[in-house]
Amino acid sequence: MNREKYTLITGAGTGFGKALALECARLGHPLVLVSLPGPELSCLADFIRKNHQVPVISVETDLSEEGNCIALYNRIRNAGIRINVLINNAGIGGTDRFEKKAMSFYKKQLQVNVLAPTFLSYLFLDELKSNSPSHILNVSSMAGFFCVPQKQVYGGSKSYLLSFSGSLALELKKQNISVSVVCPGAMNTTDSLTWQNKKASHILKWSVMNPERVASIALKKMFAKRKVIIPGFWNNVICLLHRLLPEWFRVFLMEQQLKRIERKQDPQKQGLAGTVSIAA
Amino acid sequence: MKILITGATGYLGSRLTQRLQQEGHVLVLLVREPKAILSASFANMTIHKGDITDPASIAKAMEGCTHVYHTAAVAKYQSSGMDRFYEVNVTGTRNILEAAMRFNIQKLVFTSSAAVFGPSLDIPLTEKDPRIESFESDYDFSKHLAGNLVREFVQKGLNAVIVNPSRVFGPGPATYSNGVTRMIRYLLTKKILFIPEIGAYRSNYSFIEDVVDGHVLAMQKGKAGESYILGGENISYAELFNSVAGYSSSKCRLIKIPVDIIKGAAHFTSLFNRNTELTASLITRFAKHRMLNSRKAISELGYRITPFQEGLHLTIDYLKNYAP
Ligand SMILES: NC(=O)c1ccc[n+]([C@@H]2O[C@H](COP(=O)([O-])OP(=O)(O)OC[C@H]3O[C@@H](n4cnc5c(N)ncnc54)[C@H](OP(=O)(O)O)[C@@H]3O)[C@@H](O)[C@H]2O)c1
Ligand SMILES: NC(=O)c1ccc[n+]([C@@H]2O[C@H](COP(=O)([O-])OP(=O)(O)OC[C@H]3O[C@@H](n4cnc5c(N)ncnc54)[C@H](OP(=O)(O)O)[C@@H]3O)[C@@H](O)[C@H]2O)c1
Repeated sequence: MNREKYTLITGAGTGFGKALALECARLGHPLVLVSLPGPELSCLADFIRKNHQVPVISVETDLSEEGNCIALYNRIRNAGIRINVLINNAGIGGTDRFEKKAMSFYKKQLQVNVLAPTFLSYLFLDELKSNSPSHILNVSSMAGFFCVPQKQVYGGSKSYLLSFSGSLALELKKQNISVSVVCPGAMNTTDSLTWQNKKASHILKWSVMNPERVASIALKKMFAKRKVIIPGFWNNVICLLHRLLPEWFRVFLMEQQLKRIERKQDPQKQGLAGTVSIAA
Repeated sequence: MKILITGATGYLGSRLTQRLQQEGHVLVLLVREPKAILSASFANMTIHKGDITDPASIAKAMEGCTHVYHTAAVAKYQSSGMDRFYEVNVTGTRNILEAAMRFNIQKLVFTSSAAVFGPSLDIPLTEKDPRIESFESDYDFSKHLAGNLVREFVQKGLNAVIVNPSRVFGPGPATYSNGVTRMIRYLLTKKILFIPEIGAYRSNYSFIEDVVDGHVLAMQKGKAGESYILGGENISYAELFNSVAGYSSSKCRLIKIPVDIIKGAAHFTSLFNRNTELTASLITRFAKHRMLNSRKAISELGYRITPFQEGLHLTIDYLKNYAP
């Protein structure tokens, strides 16, 4: 049986999760990578085995189902794999008016963004205790701090992770398990986000980061047991301003932002973005 | 068989046009400026003035054709005019694909680029490997989005294949898109060349004739929706510079400059000149391995790689004999 300790990353097939997986591999950590069924994950796993010579176990499963979270845990335990780092990265994003999406979408979003991290932390807790020092990293967002327009449910789900992580960190400190939460701003992950970021206004563009960079910052600070991780200079400036600005001015800024979003959603004004169809 | 070629005035497109002409095919060229056609003979060739951002001009050219090579693109890495990359490379490709559906084109070959696969680590990349870096350059991202469009149209029933050439070099005009040949010419004619200190990094160089063959083979044997890397050997920059210097008995002195200094200079010049060829992101592109594995094209298409030294020899002979 392999006595090495593994890092488990959810949503590892693409985007930020892929960047976290590659950075962990570069640091030499054996990996359990979890993603929805699809071709990306096995290609990434093969790439890491070839290029970094670390063991990789890949699991394709839908974490919006409670049963699948339990099955994942059982599978890892039965295989005798020891986990000492749990990274809850899988998430469903989205920017839209509240009434535009179906209830089933919000249900799934909350299942993946809120319930899956909660259940996986719960299921793997004993495992993390017995393999300590251990780490949990939850992937929240800058949208967890502020009331970003058209990110009602998403922002709420990310606020939950901030609060959940902070409280759990207090409890688990004695057991030598650190709990960190990382709050990235805009990142160039999916094609549609990369496209949006390219088209963003100048000030917003400054804060855009590549997931490779965010992953390296997040992991370094997670191992240093930092509780709340805000990657990048501009995101820190934004957080600071948020704390200093009066309430009415923050609301004013967000209302301006909402107007900008609604202008962009106007099909008449989409221009190139309309023809550059990008799978979300 | 009647073949439409876009980008026939370009480096790759002109060599492809010549090849297909030699093979006796009936060709239709969609060009922005008919005078720019390099071909020596116009036998079996119809020329349509048009633009791939103008669907009406595409329709006129494509009607009656059975096969399409879509090579046209904005293929320069420049910091200015990012929208142009998307207008031509993405929307233009969409226009071509829509027309291909409409005119029941039997098969289409789309010229993408190996740049969509990004940098490698120590092992050459295959078509299946994940990108390890986000998209930085608008050119790379536009070619990636265009490839996605091709796959989307394959889902809708279009028979289309994607080819991904690496850095192409060889006989032909030493233009922007023929960077290695341009460097060779520089070494042949100038006394001093400043090069970034990136000697150990390996990149992939494909010989133009191989890439042209690869296009023809992809049209014959390529599977719909598949991508094929059309590469060459993986060569370090040090090997590249030394081979060129060795073959050409060049008197040029190479002066190495640390990458950070060049990046600083690039930032500085881009403050004044938006059209500068030297962009900081371009330099960063070079300070990485970009190794590729052409195994899939070799085994599935019968693609062949001309040894780098041989290709270099042919290029230098060409430059000495034909180029001004
Ligand atoms: N991009 C940004 O600007 C940004 C900013 C702040 C925070 N974040 C957060 O970063 C995390 C990663 O997002 P990303 O930008 O990298 O987007 P992404 O590429 O769409 O990644 C989302 C990941 O979650 C996985 N996932 C989604 N639904 C799932 C399900 N039902 N079961 C299992 N896995 C599921 C996906 O798996 P597959 O790979 O199989 O599809 C994917 O790997 C998310 O939590 C997101 O909220 C992103
Ligand atoms: N060179 C390389 O190393 C390399 C490597 C990988 C992939 N590629 C790809 O190979 C293809 C050909 O590149 P190349 O190196 O031959 O570049 P090139 O010499 O710059 O040729 C580009 C061609 O596209 C045409 N074109 C540009 N915009 C157009 C438009 N709006 N409508 C119609 N035609 C337009 C140009 O016509 P004009 O003469 O009118 O400008 C020219 O014929 C491109 O798709 C490129 O992405 C090249």
